Formats: sequence, structure tokens, C-alpha cells
Amino acid sequence: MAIFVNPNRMELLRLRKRLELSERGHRLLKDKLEGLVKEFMPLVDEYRRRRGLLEDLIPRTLGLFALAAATSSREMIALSLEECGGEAVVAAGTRKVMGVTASEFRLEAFTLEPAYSMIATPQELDLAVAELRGLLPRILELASLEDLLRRLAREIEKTRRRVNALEYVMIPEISRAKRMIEGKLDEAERGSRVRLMKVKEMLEARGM
Amino acid sequence: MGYFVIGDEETVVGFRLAGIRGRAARTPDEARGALGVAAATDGVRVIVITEAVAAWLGEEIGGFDPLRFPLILTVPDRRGPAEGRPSIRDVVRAAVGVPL
Repeated sequence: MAIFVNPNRMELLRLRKRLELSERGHRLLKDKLEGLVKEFMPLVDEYRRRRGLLEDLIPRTLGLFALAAATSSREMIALSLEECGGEAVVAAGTRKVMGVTASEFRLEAFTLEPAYSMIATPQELDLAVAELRGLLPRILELASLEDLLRRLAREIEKTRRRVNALEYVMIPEISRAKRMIEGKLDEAERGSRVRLMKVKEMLEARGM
Repeated sequence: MGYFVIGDEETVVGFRLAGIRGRAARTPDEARGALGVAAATDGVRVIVITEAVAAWLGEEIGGFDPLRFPLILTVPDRRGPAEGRPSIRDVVRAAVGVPL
């Protein structure tokens, strides 16, 4: 994408300002990119750790439910389901990391009414319910962290594209156009100087 | 009501016993319907979807804006993490430019 400009001093001044602005923008965006990546990497490690933990715990807990279902009748589980009620109060907020806003949720309260018969249901069921309840805040934290990571990743990608566009397209194009105008102006100046010298020579030859 | 679970019957029953509402999905259509119900339910902040069901929903999950819509978290079901699932690794690769 070449920049087409009229080779005059006004354009040259305009291009000089534009180049200065582009270089300043490039420097700032590069700093921002470094900052974003610096924030991003520890969060990725934290996400991996939490995700790994949850990926171990969820299948194990759900396995306990399956065990409970196997050791008791289907009707009993259905009855327990009907008698189970719960209410999770989740507080929603936002947090900002390097100018990126992401959702943040926190489990404020959780009331569970395990109204099913403790005697008629297997022990695995109570254990599974207790374990799953313990997982709920972790699920919320992981969801918030994943949201933040995705948003940061999007911002990093966007910033990197801008940095690259400035570095490899805008700044070289403006510099080329600036050099072209400077070359043309120099040429025009040389031309007018030669013309003046010729005129002077001609005047001297005529004895004027 | 902060959570909503969409997954296979076992997962939904499990979460239901822990006091979390949800809807079982056996087909992609049912999964889409369940996602619609979750989206329309007041107070739902996080939708927990099992990986198998998330694979049916694909792009529909990615199209939501979490600031206006509940967050969606995919979790493994009783059988454990699925092979070849899209993960945060892809997000990191897109952001950083190199696989980590």
C-alpha cells in the first residue's frame, strides 16, 4: 500500500508529523503488548493449575453419584431429586487488568436443603453432594479466570496486529513517501540553482 | 440461582442433587434448547456445560458476550476430559504466537 502524495513542503511537514506520531504510537503499543503478555503468562499457569484440579475432581465426584445410583434404586434417586432444593447467590462484578475488563463472579451464599432421607440413601450420595458443593466456588473462579484469559488474549492479538501494522506497513510507507518528497524537493532546488547559474552565465556573456 | 448445568443425564442429576438446576441434553437440538432456557433464566451467571454437549454447540457458545450473558464453562463429564477438545492452549497460541 503505497502513499500517493503531492511532493511539496506542506505534505513533507504533514508526513513528518505523521511519522513522529506513528513512531510514538508504535513505542507505546509495544510497551502495552509487553505489559499484557507479562500479566497473561502467570494467569495461564494459574488457569492450568485450577483447571487440572477441577478436571480431576469433577469426574471423581460424578463417579460417586454413579456409584450412589448403582447402590440404590432409581426411584430413590428420583425421590431425592424432588426433595432437593438449593439457592446459590452469585455476586457479579468486573475487574480490570491492563485496561481489559472481564467479568468476575463470587459465590456469596449457598443454601442447600438436602431434604431426602439420609437413612434410605447410600453414603456415597451424601459424600458426592458435599464434594460437589465444595466445587461450586472453584467452578465460578475458573469461569471468571477463563473469561479474563480470553479477553486478555483477544487484546494481545489486537495489540500485536496494530504493532505489526505500524512497524511493517505504516512507518515504512510514510518514511518512503517522506524520502520521495525530500528527493523531489532537492531535485527541484538543484534545478532552480542550475537555472539561476545558467541565467547568470548568459547575463555575464552579454556583458550585463 | 447462579448456576445452570447442561450435560448428560448423570451430570445433571448429580448437580441437581447438589442444588444446582440444569437440563439434560441427548441431542444437539436438545442442547441448543437447553442453552436457550439457561440464557432466558433470570439470575444465571455461569452455565456449566459438559465437553460432549459443548462439542455439539460449537460456535454458539463462542458467540456470546460474557458481560451481558452468563459465563460458559466446559467441564469434563464422569468419563473425564475428552480427547482433542479445544482448550485454552489455542487461545494462548493465538495470543502469544507460539504454542506453550
